[in-house]
Amino acid sequence: MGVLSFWPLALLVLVPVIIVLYILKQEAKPHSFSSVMLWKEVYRNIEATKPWEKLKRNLLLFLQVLTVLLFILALMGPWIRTLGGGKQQVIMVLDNSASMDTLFTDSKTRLEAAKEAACDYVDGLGAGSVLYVISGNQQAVLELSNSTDKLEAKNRIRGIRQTSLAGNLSCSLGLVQSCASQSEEAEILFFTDTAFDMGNMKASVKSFYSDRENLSVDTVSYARRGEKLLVLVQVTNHSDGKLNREINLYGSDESGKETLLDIGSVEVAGKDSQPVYFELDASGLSAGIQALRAELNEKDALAGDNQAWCVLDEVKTSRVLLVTKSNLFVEKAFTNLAGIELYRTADVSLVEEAAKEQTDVTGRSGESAETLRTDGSGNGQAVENGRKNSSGYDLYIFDGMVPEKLPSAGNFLFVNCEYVDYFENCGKVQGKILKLVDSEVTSYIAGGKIGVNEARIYHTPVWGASYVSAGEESAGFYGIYDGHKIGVLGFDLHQTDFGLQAEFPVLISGLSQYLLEGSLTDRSAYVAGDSILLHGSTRGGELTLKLPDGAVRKMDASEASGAYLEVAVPGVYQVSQELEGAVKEQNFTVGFPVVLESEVESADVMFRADSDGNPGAMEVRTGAVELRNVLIILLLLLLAGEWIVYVKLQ
Amino acid sequence: MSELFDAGFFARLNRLKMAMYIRLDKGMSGGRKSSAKGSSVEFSDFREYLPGDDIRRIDWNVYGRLDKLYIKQFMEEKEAFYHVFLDSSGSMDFGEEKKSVMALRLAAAFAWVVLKQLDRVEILTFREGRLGKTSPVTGRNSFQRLLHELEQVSFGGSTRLNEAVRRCSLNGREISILISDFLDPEGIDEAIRYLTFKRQEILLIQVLAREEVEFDEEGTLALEDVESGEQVRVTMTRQTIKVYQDTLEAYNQNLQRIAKRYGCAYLQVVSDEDLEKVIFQTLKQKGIFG
Repeated sequence: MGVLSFWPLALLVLVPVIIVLYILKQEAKPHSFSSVMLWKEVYRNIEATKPWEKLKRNLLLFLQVLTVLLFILALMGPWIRTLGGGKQQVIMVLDNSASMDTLFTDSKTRLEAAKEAACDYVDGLGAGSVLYVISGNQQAVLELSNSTDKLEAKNRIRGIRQTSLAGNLSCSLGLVQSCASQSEEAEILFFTDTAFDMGNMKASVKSFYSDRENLSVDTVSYARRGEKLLVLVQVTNHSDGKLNREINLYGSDESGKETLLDIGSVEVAGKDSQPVYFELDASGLSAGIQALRAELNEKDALAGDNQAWCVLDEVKTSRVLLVTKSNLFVEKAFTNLAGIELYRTADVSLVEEAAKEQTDVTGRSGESAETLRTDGSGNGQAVENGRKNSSGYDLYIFDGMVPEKLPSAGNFLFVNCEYVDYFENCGKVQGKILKLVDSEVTSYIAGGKIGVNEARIYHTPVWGASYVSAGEESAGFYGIYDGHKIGVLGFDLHQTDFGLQAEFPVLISGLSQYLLEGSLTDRSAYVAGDSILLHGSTRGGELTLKLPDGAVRKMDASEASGAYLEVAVPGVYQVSQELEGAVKEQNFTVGFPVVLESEVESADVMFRADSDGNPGAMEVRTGAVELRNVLIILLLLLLAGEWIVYVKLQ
Repeated sequence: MSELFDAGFFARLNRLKMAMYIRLDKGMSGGRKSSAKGSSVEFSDFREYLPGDDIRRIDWNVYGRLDKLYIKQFMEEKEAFYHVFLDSSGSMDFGEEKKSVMALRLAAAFAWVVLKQLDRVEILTFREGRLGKTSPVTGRNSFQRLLHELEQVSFGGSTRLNEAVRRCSLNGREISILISDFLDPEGIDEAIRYLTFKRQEILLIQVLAREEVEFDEEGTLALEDVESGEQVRVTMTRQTIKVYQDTLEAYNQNLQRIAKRYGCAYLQVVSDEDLEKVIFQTLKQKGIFG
């Protein structure tokens, strides 16, 4: 037996007040009468016939005092343990996804409240109950298995950590079923704030959804305009009412030291988003600033989504070498792209020589490679600065010819090439319509068709993804292999109508963005919980990952190439690898999963019956039955009884 | 006439007479037949002359026919003696329509009827075990004096009926009328027994106030006895009042049982009742007035 709160005990002062009122009420009014002889007999008669008459005279007083006491008790929220009886198997699943960090009460987050409720439930269990504790966000983790130790179970529950990962408890269903299969009657309890599909599972749910003020900083992005740096911060209000907030914009250098760059303000209507613009003088920024961070300067229910980051690239021009006898389509398409210096050569041996000597092509044969265009302006994209310490090319485009030995650094685009070490040509097709499939490089043009006279087809390698399909095979793919980003296009553009289509320059733009980005990771911006594909070169040194908290993690080059790494903590990360004397560095950001976690569908909806009439989930009774409703019913009955007594006495 | 009575009322009383059926053998000559032979004009019987008889009563006509001396006997008429015991305790001075007023009027009415039929009446007020006596009167001319004395009666103190009645010396067959609320903690048994022993024909008239019969006060009351000053705290609920009414009913029934046991006539009168209705309907129906 316990109570939820003790403050209603203060109302006990009402009891003496009622008694005093009764004493005052019973002050007798003097009344002269001819003779009290009969009244004395009346008094004796009442006393004699009903020994409890004394009590009955004060029955209303007792009923009223009892009413007040019941009322106070009901306010205190009493509960009794109901699970203390038999042994049972209990599987408790606690959601520790990012949304559970939202405040549930003024002082407790949803996860803290859930852990408390789970511990209460454990307290209410009978000795010998078999306990399983699972935490879930993107993945389910079995924190405790098959234990009868209630203390240990509570310690494990209290030890569950808040994460910034997106997800709901549907990820735990498999594990829960596996645990439940060990007993015929397992009690399954979910402690979560987010609705999820339980399927046919018979389980109880305790909802910790709370409707409180919450704003999130969704994205931070920037563009360079001459000497200006334009920063856009997207803010979303997940609450119902209009909110005003100030936003601080910080810049951080390599050591993580932050400088306040600007302060903006925003007014966002309920369930709406607003952009906030900052215009900074790029020349005035410290040269060491590598990342921007925007933060709301007022805390709300969910603190995790109040900030976002973006990596600030240095101004850089990418160098591209086009090895071709003549391909005006590719040449013109790359010429139109900003931030690119395009060089052309028809002599593939220059590349071979450079590869053999591991030296710069232009450095040794600068006069042979023709500089087509120089563009010093940035292109506004997040471009990795992998070659900054090298004098080679960032991208080699081989059109119909491949050197015997490829350069050790840089990325490659193979156009109509027969065979390269990295992939295998498996034939040709003629007079066929090829199709652009949805991929990272075909944004906005997926579904486009290319008519070809002749095209090479390839088996898409395991490390690649197709973007031009030719039936079951591929006529174009991209991917990362041995530290190089590689793009393949299997046909001569002169043998197709593709060069004349509007989709062509869009595809070239997409390929160039992909191929010119840093190659240590596949992207520069992630969300907590994403898997990062590392692409360290097997020929390089160990790969170093610097976490937002300053911790450093090192991996062997063999281990780092093609390895997936999960990032759970939001912030700015830095990955670096030493390759042939030069250090390749790349920054990337991990953001809060705003879209999935800043505003979730309340778990309360799980209690409702669905459209098919299936009943909703049962609500968890946390090891106890609350007596408030019973007391309220008793209170009403008591009031009715009091009324009857009052009428009868009168 | 006083404010208690009006002339019209007494004019109507002229038509009434007491219907108490007792045979008197004592007392002064009066207008009531007695068992004694006397000197009235109403013939009763003949008997032979005995020496010493009044020779004026010899019926000479009979002697002429039978040649024997016979004495002619006549009915003796005696006057009845009415004792009206009037409760003058404090409890009688209660009620919006006071019981004392009704009691005085009843006493006066009885006295008038008695005097009108040439009987003797005395009013005996009693309280605290003592009697306050008026002189016995007879003849209509005495009524004004009696009435004046009634108007001087004050009410107060306790009752103690038994003690008071025992103080009264009674001779022979007479009529006692007790006018009281009979709310005496000592009861009235002893007084009735005493009167019965004294061969009294007894009429009990219980006068109650409307407030006593139909109690309708609310709340918690400290009921104070006007005689003794004793207090009783009672919370007036519907149930309490019901118990009181039942108790009063039982008390009155007990009075009636006592009256029946001793051959008394019993009548209950409520103080706010119309006196004429009491006299001309209730008492006539009870056979007290003929």
